[in-house]
Amino acid sequence: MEIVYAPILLDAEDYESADIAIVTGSLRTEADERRLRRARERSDCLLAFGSCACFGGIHGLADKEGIKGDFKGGQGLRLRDSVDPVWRVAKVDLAIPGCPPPEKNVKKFLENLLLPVDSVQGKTVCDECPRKRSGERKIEKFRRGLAGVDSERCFLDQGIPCIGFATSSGCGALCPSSNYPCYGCMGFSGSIGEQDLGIARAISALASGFENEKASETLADPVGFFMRFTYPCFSLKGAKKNGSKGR
Amino acid sequence: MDLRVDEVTRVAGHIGLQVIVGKENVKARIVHSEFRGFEPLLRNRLLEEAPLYASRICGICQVSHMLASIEAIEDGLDIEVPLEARKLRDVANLAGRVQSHLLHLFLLIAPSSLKTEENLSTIGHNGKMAIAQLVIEGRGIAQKIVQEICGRSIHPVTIVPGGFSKSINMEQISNVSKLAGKLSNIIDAIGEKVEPILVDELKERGVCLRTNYMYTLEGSIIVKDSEGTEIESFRKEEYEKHIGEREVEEGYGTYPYLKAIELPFRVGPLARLNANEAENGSGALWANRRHESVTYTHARIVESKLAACRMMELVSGLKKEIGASPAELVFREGEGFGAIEAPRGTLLHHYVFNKDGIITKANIVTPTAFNSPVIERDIEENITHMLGKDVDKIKERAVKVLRDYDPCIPCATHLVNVVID
Repeated sequence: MEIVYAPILLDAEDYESADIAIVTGSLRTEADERRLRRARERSDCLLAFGSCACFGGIHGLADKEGIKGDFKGGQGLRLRDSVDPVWRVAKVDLAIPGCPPPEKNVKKFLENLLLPVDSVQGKTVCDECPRKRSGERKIEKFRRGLAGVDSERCFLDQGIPCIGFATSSGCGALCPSSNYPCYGCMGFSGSIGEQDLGIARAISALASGFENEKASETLADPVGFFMRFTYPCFSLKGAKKNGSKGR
Repeated sequence: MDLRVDEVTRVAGHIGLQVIVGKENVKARIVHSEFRGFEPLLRNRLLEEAPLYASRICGICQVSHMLASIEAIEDGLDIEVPLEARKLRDVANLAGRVQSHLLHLFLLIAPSSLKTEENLSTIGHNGKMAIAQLVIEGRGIAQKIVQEICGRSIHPVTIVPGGFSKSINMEQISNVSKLAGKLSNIIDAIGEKVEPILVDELKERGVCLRTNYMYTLEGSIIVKDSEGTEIESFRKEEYEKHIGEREVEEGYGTYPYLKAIELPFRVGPLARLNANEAENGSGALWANRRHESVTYTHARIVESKLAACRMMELVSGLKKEIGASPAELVFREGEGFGAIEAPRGTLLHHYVFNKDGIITKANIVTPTAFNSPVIERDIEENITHMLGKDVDKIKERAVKVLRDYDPCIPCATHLVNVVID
């Protein structure tokens, strides 16, 4: 395997073509978009590596809070109207989500140059999670912090927000196994371009588990909870500008 | 002469460099060419979740960002952390430091600064892989140490306000000790191979910029001059009174400066070894202060060795399982400050939050931001001594000096005037 272009590792200033372009990060500046379009044009296959490339990533929330700042410099430095995942601008052939992508998935990819089998197949983190789930979940309210948590029981059953029930599997439920609730770095179960459907399903699934209708209001940061890594997929700015090009 | 490099290769992040050689002087400017906005996005986020975001500021120094963030929360809410948990956090921070230093050494600067036939493109192609093999193995071990303590090597999972979310047993602790021992040996081997090459590079440069040095220790920020005399010291809570930030002309960086002494200062491995003698235990490994930017790389190797030894020391004092200790979160209006030595230098996290524990303001000052003004100064000094040489040589020296500082641009970017819609 020969690396023809990788600014972080090699001094090659340009490249003519590549069999596979591995793209990390999402589109924030105009230079990001220029680099991506060039990579798509010149390579046979494009791999979106990591949750920023797949979904826009965690810093997509900067658009929700709103940033408009002074910037000075060349066009390339100008911020785009919205953060966008790679698929909004270019066709994605392969995707390895995660923040970071789970080690075993990266390994499998490098060994086989194939997508790992157990990702984005409709399975969720719950399917991999070792914690004991109650038969019929009825959440009364959510709470904050992990003090006094039972390390064997499902987080949601204990009123601790965990979005594993809607998050794509493939990580081995790493965080819940380490006694930390899933916070969604693998994106919603389903294809990478359909995260907005994933959000809708997640919201309704969560609402159905509540003891009373008002309980969902105790989520203190619902946008953070539901869209931590995927906000750009749900961003109206991005959809309006680019449509569903590249899906 | 006007030299411009739009995208400097082999640095962490996107950075441009411009050098203007005028009749009277040389002007160097680095252009931070990326921006994501972690300070704006932390507004309206849950205070206890800040570390989840902070860690993603950077994939290399994420352990330090997470620890600085956690410290700011614990500081703001008066949360105590058991001593054993604090020791293990220190071990994780030191392991993160070694991993970062080794990454820089081999992957980022080796092809130009090490004058060895080994570089990334030769791995696997011929038998000459000694340094590469050692660095890759060493990094792998450092990452395993972080994983053993924090559940995952990149973006730790188990570090929470109050301690750890999951207990760490004696088998894990013993494993960390063994790994640290192995790491120490590997670093010795790396040092032996790399030192002679660095000595040659030092001879070739012939430029030395003397500056003040800044570091943080136990919640205080200390500045010493090039001879090691303390010139300023303040508590992390007071940083805004002592540190100002200036706008840059181009790009997304800022120039932090010390309000009291407007003289150049540096942070990072060189600062820690030159200035923090009492704590770093360097002894014979760093017997004399050194100031040339090339010596940053010496400093990284020495620090890695010291880190491995310190890890073993910290772990040897742990005789029983460290229990999980997530804190009860009692919210009130306030603010919290975290100050830590990240791989590249002093890192500050400052959060202001309301009575419901929602962040209303976040300010993060990173080591690369602190070093940005002096990086430009150092490049200018170097080029002033090279006038008359051809453009390619000047360009080569400029980027070499930049890389000596191991800048991390994802961390450093910052908008001074941010308008929130």
